[in-house]
Amino acid sequence: MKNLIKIFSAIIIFSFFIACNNENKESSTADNTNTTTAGGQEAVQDDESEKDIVKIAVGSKDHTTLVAALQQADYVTALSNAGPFTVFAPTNAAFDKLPAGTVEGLMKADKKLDLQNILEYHVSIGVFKEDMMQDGQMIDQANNKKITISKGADGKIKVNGTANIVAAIKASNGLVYVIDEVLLPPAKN
Amino acid sequence: MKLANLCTALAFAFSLVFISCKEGVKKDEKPIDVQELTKDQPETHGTELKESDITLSTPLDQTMVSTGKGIYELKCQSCHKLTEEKLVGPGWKDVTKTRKPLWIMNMITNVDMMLASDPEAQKLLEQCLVRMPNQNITTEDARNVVEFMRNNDGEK
Amino acid sequence: MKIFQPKNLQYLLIAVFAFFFLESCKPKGAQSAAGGDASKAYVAPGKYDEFYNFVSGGFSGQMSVYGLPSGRLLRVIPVFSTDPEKGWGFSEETKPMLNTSHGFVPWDDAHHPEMSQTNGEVDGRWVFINGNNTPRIARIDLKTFRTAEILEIPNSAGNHSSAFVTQNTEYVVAGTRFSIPLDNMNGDVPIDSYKQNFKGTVSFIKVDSTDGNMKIAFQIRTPGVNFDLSHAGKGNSHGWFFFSCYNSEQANTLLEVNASQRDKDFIMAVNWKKAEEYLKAGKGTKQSVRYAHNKYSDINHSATSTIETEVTVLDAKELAEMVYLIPCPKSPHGCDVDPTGEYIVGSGKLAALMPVYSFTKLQKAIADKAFDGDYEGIPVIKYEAALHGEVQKPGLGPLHTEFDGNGNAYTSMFVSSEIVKWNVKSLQVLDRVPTYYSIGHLCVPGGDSRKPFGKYVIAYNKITKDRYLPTGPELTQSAQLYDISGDKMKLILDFPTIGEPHYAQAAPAELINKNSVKFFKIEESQHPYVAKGEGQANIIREGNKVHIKMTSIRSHFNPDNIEGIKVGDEVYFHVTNLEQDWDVPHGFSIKGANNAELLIMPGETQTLKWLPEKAGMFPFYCTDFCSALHQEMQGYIRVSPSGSSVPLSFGTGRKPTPSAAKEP
Repeated sequence: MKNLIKIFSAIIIFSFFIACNNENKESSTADNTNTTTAGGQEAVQDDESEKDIVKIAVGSKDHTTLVAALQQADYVTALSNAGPFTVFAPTNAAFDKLPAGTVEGLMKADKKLDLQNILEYHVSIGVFKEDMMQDGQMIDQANNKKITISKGADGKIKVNGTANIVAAIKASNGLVYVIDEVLLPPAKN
Repeated sequence: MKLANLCTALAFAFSLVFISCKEGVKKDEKPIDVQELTKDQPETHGTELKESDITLSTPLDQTMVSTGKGIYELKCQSCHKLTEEKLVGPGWKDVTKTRKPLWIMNMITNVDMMLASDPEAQKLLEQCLVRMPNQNITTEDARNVVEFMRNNDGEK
Repeated sequence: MKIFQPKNLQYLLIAVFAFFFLESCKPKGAQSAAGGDASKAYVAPGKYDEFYNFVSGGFSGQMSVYGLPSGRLLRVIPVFSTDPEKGWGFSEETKPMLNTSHGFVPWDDAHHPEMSQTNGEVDGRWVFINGNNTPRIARIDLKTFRTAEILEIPNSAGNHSSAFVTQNTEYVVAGTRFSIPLDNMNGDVPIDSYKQNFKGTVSFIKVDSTDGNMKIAFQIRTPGVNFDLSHAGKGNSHGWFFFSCYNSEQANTLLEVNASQRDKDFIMAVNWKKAEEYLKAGKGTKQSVRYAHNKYSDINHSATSTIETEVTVLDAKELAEMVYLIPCPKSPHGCDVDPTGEYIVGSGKLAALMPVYSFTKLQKAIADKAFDGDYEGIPVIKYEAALHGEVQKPGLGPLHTEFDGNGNAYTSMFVSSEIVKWNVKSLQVLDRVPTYYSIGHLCVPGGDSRKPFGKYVIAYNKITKDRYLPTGPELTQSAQLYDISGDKMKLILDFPTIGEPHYAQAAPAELINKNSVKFFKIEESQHPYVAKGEGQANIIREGNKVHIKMTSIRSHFNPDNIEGIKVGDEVYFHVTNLEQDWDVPHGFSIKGANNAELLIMPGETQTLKWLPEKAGMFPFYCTDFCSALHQEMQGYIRVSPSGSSVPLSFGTGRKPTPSAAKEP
């Protein structure tokens, strides 16, 4: 009789334990699916649609520095969003023109705000097509500073007097202008 | 004895889990039961009538008869004829002779309760196949309908 | 038997513990099955939600009602668009609701629901919502969850900065998104004459405190700009209204670029108490206009549409101290006032910071005349003079702000796709959480009132991409529910929404559900064609117009056999639902009808117009499963050629007539 009670109790306990355990398992799976934070729109699997700005940059072998900088600044998600943006995208060569160590310095964790500020200075919210740009036009950038457009007699466009537009690429969420110089935000605007 | 110790340990462990589980079930601090609020609305439906709630008198009260007739035409006529003929529900001829006023009035004002508990009401549902709708008739108007039924059954 | 030995007792104790363990886990079990944060959105089957959530349907033109925190869709209330499911805009009774000065308009774009308030607190009586395209404001009665009134707004195009209310619902406002030549001006002018000919207006619509009826009290004529959003002052700032405006460049083409030229646009501050004084003093100009005013009566079960012909206009330029402009960076969108009424948040879509203005400073700036010139005759306050401070680097693309009552603000960031929590006083960013994807509006229950209920913030997103099973090119829109009871915002639920959700409001269920009507009392109906009982079922022929007074009750129509209808007749089925019980609607549909069904609530009469075009037999039936004999709830209508001599006859449950047997 004694043993019977022991066994009986043990079975009850064990089965309850299992029952509760199962629920715990369920809970963890549901939890995972419900609170997934696996990145923003850049993580959407879609190879068919027109490429957005981030996908264009990632696909360009001349923009590895820019892509690395966008990742470091956490701006990949933002530039995958609806926008529309006009992004002035300096090439690797453009970054190389900066004094030695500048890029490496900006890529440090404690310089993230500076890096964000510089990258924001390369992004305007809105689509600015070349034929709409006028000589002397000022465009507000995402960091609240302005760039100045100059248009030569030949129709060639320069940004802030020195950076040349090398190519214009249409993206699903805006425009990318490949430029040959990094734009440095003025201290005051 | 070893097993017993193990069991004690287990019991302790369980009681801990028990406490931690209990924490998650903390009583909601909100005193208002939203669901009750919906039910709380005044609705002339759902209070069971007792024998003592009803008094019949003769001769018939002609005002009650005519009010009862109005209720009949508005809310009952669709399904009940004044003859013996069954339409959707049974005809009303002689209903006051076969049913007590209490039964009739509860059927009018408390149809859900009657269909759930009263064998006679259930028998009628089997015959008619349509649940008698709750037509939101007040106790007073149900009494008027009974007066109209008595009149229909030839009472003076 | 030795089972009561202490040792054995231990085992029993354990078993008992285990039992309680299970019990304590069990009720929670169902909840915790959904797991950690997600369990907070779980509402058990049969249990009510804690909040109602009124969500704009955007281009669906309707307003949806969800329960929170479950995200369960409770109802889609037809407002500006027809809804064949409910007969809205198809029944004769509801057609006048969609009447405008342009005739019957079956669609609109509904953006901003706002619940009525008393003393700045949500009172659960009505929801107002704007019609954007053909400018209108609708009032939805929360006793019936139906649209009770629609008022068209003259001198307006694109009623976007609407339908926000003052703290005692004295007024609900409208504001034109497009400036235009006003209705009494010649509109046939060159588009590029914008600067000379285009004007803006904001409208203050008086709301009757007992029945909610709306009436345009006055309009304020402003320079030509685009008004975007608005919110009333409250507490200290009660008596003022704030509108964001963009396109101060007055561009008339390619606004995407041309309306973003200036550093700053404006928040327009309107002293409406001052406006009331001017109105009283007769400073307004009566202007001849045309606009529709439509009301639905729950006694007549019918709507009426009246065309109003006059509005009083106050000129912001001529009447001093009524309107001021506060500079606000870069095309401001959201214009939100915190629960104290002291702080006004402007959100420039393209700005990298968010200005927060102080009402006290604004008053001082006005007293000191700290002006930076004027804009078309309206004084422009010096930016710094009204500024409490700026939220630096809040995120990209700030749109809208709601408040939690603990001094925190929650701002939606479209471009960086996140909600940012910040402290209104210190302007410090406290937390940020991503949304999936590209949030537009957001809502905290009571979050734009003096007494927010807090607990949740709901994001209304513009893009869902891969969040749900794909459904072809057109994907569902979505809402996301975040728990804000702790320091950190936590995502607990995604749920799909109808149309495109813009603004939304939420309020505790107990403010609303206790007043919800269960049925209409048939005794009280004053519908001209009500049949109060089957004895009143009837057919009346007036020339080629045939009025059929029909009743429905579980489960038959009366009449259900109708003869003597002819091609060329105009037939009106006036169907009265005789039921007097909760949740027993009847439907009515007839083969080949070119409109829709009727869905008739208990005690209600609704009318379907039907034009029989050829002779034949036309069945009709009840569309709402009403009883076990629902499938039996049907009837026939016989249509004979025009000029036929078949007499009008009708009934239910009639025995075949001898003549009928003879007919071929």
